[in-house]
Amino acid sequence: MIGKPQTDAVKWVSIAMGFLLTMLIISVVLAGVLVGFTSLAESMLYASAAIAPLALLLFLALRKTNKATS
Amino acid sequence: MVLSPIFALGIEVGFYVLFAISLYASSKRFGMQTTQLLLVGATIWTIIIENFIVLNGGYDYYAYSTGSFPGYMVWVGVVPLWIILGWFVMTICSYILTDTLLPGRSPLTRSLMTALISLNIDLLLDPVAVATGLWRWTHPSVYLIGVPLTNLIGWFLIVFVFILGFETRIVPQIGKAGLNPNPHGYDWWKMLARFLRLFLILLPAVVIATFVVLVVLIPYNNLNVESFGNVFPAPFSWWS
Repeated sequence: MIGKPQTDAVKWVSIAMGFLLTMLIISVVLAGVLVGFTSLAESMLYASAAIAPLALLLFLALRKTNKATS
Repeated sequence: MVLSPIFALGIEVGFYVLFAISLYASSKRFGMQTTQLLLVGATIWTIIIENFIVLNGGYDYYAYSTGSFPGYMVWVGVVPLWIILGWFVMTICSYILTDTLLPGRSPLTRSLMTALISLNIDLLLDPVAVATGLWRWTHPSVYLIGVPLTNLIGWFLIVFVFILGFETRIVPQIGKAGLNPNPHGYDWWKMLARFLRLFLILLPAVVIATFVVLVVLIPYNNLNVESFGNVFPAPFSWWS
């Protein structure tokens, strides 16, 4: 059973992960290009693909906790 | 590529903010008592592993160091504090997500999921760190987009073993209620001692597993050996 504390925790985890991913995306832009790629566009494409599973899991967790408490 | 020293300091401060948010999230979900247990356990666990690998030439954190400043503000041995706390951030955020998505599943499944989420975060974190010089890999291995395969396997193993140990050895002792935000009080020091005794068995196992992976991958190294310059000696001077 999901209670309010768990909902709050997932929200704060989402904030933490959002903050981390923003820091990393800014770092990619500052670096210009990641090792093994030839352009910033390619690097950003990789970055987007790499974080997609995490973004999906965060979305599922938020949806689950919101449903449970609404 | 090494950027401005301000960048490295910004990342360090950013991780302290992340740590504060994660600590708050964990206290909301598990309560302060269990959060402190996980924090102290994860900190001791990573201090030992990180320092061991850096001292043995696996990687280093000195790209931003100058003659008078070591590059980052706070260090624990030869590892920046934000790296140690970063492990806690990754582990606890992955564990809370797993706990939400897979409640009541077996410890093996939950540990696997937690380790996979952490590994997913690393798929972006490590290439960024390599591209910006936050840390430098200095051992021979199979490298994918600048990151050794040893790291990806090690990252998975470290989180998997830590959470599996916690779920199988600690949670049954404190009871499922111990994972509630307001658990009935339990003997925190006794649980910590139990956690630390567990490390005595698990740490050598993780080190040996990583060593085996390292040895298996060395023949397939795809980077120039001359680039493996670390201020600390590699074990038995194999590659330094």
